[in-house]
Amino acid sequence: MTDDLQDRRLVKRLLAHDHEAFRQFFDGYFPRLYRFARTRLGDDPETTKEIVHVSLSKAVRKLGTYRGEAALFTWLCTICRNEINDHVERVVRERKHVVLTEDLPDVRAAVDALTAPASDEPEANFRRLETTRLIQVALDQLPTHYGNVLEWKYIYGFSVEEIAAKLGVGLDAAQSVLARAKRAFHDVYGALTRDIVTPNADTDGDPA
Amino acid sequence: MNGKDRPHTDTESDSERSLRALFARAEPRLAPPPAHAEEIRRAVYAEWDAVTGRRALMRRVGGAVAAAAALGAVALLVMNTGTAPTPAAVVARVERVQGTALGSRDGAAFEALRVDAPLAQGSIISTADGQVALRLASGGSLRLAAQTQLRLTGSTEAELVAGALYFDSENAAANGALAVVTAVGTLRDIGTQFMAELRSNRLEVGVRDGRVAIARDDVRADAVAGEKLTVERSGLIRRDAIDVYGEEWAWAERLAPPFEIDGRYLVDFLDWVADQTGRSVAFADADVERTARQTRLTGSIDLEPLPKLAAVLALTDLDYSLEGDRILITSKPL
Repeated sequence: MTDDLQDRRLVKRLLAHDHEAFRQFFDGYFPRLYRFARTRLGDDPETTKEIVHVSLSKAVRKLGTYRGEAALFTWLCTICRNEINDHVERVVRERKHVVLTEDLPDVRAAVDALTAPASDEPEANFRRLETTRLIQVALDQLPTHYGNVLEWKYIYGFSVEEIAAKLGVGLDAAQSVLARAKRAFHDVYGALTRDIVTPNADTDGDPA
Repeated sequence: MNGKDRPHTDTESDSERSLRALFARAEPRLAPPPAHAEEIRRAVYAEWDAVTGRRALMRRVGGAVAAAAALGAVALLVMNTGTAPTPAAVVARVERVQGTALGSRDGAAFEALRVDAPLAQGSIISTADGQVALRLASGGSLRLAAQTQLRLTGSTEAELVAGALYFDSENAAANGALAVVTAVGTLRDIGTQFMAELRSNRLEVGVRDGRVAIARDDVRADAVAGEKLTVERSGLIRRDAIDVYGEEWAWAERLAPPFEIDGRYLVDFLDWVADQTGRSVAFADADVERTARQTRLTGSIDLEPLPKLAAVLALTDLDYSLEGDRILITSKPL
């Protein structure tokens, strides 16, 4: 079954008030949407909580309008992105009337000192962090179980047997999921890094 | 063994090796804080349940209408006899609303609840971001936290679908014990004040006063004042000690029923504050107690219990401080 078809079926079950569908929806999409929002909100957990809450609430109210033209995660990200934009605009409006303590010269110097990069090699540090971030973004772009199996195998070091047990499937099925997940990751990560040109670029970020 | 430390084998393909090399730089993805996840799950569930539950109900009603149409002759007979549907009994009235809370019945559109609105048997209340206090026809104050959905299934029975509620039977005022049905178990108050919160996989019941009986299948457990029972969907029941006052109860205190002070003695008002906040009143000495018993209040003020206490005492010779579970009443220094 294609992912699009799976998404449409999940939404259809959600609209039919299927509690198992709600569990799948929330467990599958909430963590990914949370990370999507948090990286765009300066790693602020409280604001992320508020934005994701509002986004998912709006999404369930608008479920009837989902036509499956985009992946469900893409649709959720669009709603979330709009909420983030509204939030940022509100903050900007409010800041026009606020004098930040950090803007005082003495305080500014202290803050700058605190936020200076710890690494002696900022560029290399940046590339490493960016690679990490892009891997995580790619994993979140994949269907939930694809992202999970890749993380389990390559980051947590689970064996195929352990992954099969976690998925509740046989060994062959787990290997098949892993193979499909790797192909999907290759496509998504490749698309994410295709247009990135880094000075002295080496093989960073190329999974193939 | 960590995946990054796993040795490569000769049989691995280039693709596999480069994937391992790439992931060697990766960190696990951030997991949302469990408390945030739980809070959002509950809120989104309530929203989803309110939206799609009504759709499902409408479909069932639609199906019933179609079936009725197929039995047209019978339907006509009923109409010709002039039999009208019996209005459902009013089982509660809205006492307080903070923010926006919605109500619906028989699959009709949800509408914002207003103070004094009657609620018929079968009504569904969805608080979204608001909170609401209901006065039950059978007696007692039933208060719903934000992100809660409740169905009033009878004069002494309600179904908690999601979220949290607080019930104060107000002692002898109640004509019948309230039963709260949930997916995890059924609660029955035995002259009490209690809070119940239904989470995705468990039910938590904290008792402030009196006793609550919880039944699940053939298992029954009682909780008394100062106890919290956690009932897991698996059937596991855990018992903990809790404070009967403080922040955890604050949302319910904000929905306390109005207390008219005009013409009442100060000591009666202090008893009301104590009852609403889960504390007891203590007097610094006999003179202070005598003053409280002799002071008659006039006027009107509608605030939450503790702010109201501060406002009322500001006009008297007495003061108060919170000391654990006690409200200590003292004289103002000269």
